[in-house]
Amino acid sequence: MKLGIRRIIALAFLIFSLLYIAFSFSLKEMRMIGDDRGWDPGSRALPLGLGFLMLALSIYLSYRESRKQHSPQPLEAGSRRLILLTVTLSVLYILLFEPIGFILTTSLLLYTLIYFNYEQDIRREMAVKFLAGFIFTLLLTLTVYTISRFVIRGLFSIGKSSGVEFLSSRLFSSFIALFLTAVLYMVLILSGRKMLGKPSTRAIVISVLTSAGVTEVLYLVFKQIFYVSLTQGIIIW
Amino acid sequence: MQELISGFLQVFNLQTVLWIALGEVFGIVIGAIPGLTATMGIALMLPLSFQLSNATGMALLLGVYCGAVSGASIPAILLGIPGNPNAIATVYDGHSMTKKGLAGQALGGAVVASFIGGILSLVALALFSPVIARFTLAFGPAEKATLAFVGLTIIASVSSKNLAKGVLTGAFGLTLALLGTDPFTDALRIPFPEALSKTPLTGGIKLIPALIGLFGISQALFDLERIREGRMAPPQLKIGKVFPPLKKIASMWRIIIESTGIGTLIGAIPGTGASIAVFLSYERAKRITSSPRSKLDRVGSGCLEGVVAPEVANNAVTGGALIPVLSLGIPGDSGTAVLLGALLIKGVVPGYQLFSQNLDLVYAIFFALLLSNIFMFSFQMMGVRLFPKVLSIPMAVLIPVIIVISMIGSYAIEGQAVLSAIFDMGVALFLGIVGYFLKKADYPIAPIVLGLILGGMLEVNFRRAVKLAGGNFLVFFTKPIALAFIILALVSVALPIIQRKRKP
Repeated sequence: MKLGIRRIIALAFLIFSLLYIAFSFSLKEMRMIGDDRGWDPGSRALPLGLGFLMLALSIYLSYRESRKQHSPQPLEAGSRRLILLTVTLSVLYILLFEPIGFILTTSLLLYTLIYFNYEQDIRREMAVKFLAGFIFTLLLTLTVYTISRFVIRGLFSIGKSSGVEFLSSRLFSSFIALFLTAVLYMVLILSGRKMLGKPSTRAIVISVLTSAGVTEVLYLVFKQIFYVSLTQGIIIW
Repeated sequence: MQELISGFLQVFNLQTVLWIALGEVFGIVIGAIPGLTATMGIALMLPLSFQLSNATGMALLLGVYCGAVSGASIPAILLGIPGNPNAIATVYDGHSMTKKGLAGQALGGAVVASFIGGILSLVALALFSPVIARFTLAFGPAEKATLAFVGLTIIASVSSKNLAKGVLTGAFGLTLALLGTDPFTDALRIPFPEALSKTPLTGGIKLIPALIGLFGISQALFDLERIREGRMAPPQLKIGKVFPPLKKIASMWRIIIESTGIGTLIGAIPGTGASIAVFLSYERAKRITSSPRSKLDRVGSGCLEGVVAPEVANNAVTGGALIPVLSLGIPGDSGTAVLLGALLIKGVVPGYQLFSQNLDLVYAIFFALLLSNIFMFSFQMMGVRLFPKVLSIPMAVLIPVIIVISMIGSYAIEGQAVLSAIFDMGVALFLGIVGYFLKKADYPIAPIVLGLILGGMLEVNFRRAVKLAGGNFLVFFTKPIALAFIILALVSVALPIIQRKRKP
């Protein structure tokens, strides 16, 4: 018998509530400091109560869902593959975020997801085109990143040496870096107009341009403006 | 007076005004794209607001909120598909007007109505929230615990057709809130404490990654299922005259007042939200216009009245839903749940304390909401021909971008501590996947968020109340306000059951 999603979720809650009750019993009973008379219900009280409430509800729902005839339509294989790809690559992204670094992992994750979503499936014959776009994404991302690093560092040292404070401000240099990226993109879009118009190459061009562009914007906003320590990974400059 | 001026200055400065404008445009775009919700928009902007000052951060989120609520009317009118549930009722008359060649009038009417609803509900917010907040002065631990309980119960019973599913997800949210350490003793409360005592799990589940996962990533995965269906392209329409005749709007005064009342009131009831308010106001407007004495066009026939009623109501919800947020710390809908989360993360405690110690922030929120409504009106009017173009952005591009923004946004909260930040990305992804499967099985997401937000308040006050009462668990039934909250919780559970039994 095939289990529908509703029954699976009800059963998952049932298992979770059993594990949660076991976890609540494993907790050391701690009471408020100075609670000599023992009036504090203790640190276990609420978790245990919740565990039993969830157990009762999940038993009821497991029973109820098993009596239902209608289950949601199963997903088509293509959509299932795209969701699986998104989840798998997102897990990989988190694992590789520190060793490889923000710039490369973000751009390549974006490229891969946009490309396959655009094509609406994953098939073996897409491999060559996909790899070509992968290399272009890598090159464009590194070019845009290198230009912005060069501009930001250059403006910083000019600002410091000349005493013109605003030149070295992160906001100003980020704005200039963004402006130069926009100019580069305009040149790329104008020169690649034909490829953008062709249905056979459209997906690749859009994926490459979007992934490198979005990565650069996120880098400038979070790293340069909000001082978030985005990991550098293998990019050493 | 000093606080009023301080609140004014916290909003009317170049930085904050620019952030509101940015939030507004982002909100309108998110609202206009079917499948992307207002709550998702606010959740995605949380990490940015976290980096800004309290007033500027809240102003940015309010801009997104207002923009997304009103932007939803664009596809509702042009394509007959609401951008999000706020515009469900706008579809009927709005799309009929488009078919009649009156798309410009419908879009313009929706903007004017949204503006009126937003401003009038702001007045209600400014009038009522201080009064209700003063009420909280009488709240001790027993009252606070039962208030958290009633908030959770109402959202659990309203957010799903199945009460058990609502309560179950609410309880699940509470279990997530209890992870980390005991609030009174700081003793670890995590599974396998020997092995995991040096991991970021000891800090518990943080609110922002959880909200981003539950509202951002889960929605993106959900939309991914429909990517192969494609989306209707926006029709090539002549928009024509946009601004509706003022005389016509003025003649709808009764619809406007009643819709504002419905929107503000429904918004202020925790857990209800705009989708109920828009239907109620639409039905009410239908009744008003079908009266033989009425000189207005009949709602349902593809007229401006049928657009104005739900659009006034959905923007009136924005102010209404903020009333319980600011005065009680209980959100009116899932969007304001995220706004409440943003306040709590910054250490701002809603209730009387907020109005007595942080009055300048309250005024700043009022001014920010005012400016958000003004920007919403101006941007939508100016961009009435431009914003529909966002409907051409392919979902194939949008979904991966949303997933990456969600991940980096979650990372940015602990931006200086790489391990914790990567853990937060993991939390967002995990809860995103959980939220996706729950949605597929018709479980509501909002109670999980409420559980996460109110879990701490519930546990601390529950234990404190019982201790102060000398171990007497009946303390919650002996205090009148606490008892009233418990009765309210029971009514909120019983009502949907009774209503369902009455239906044949």
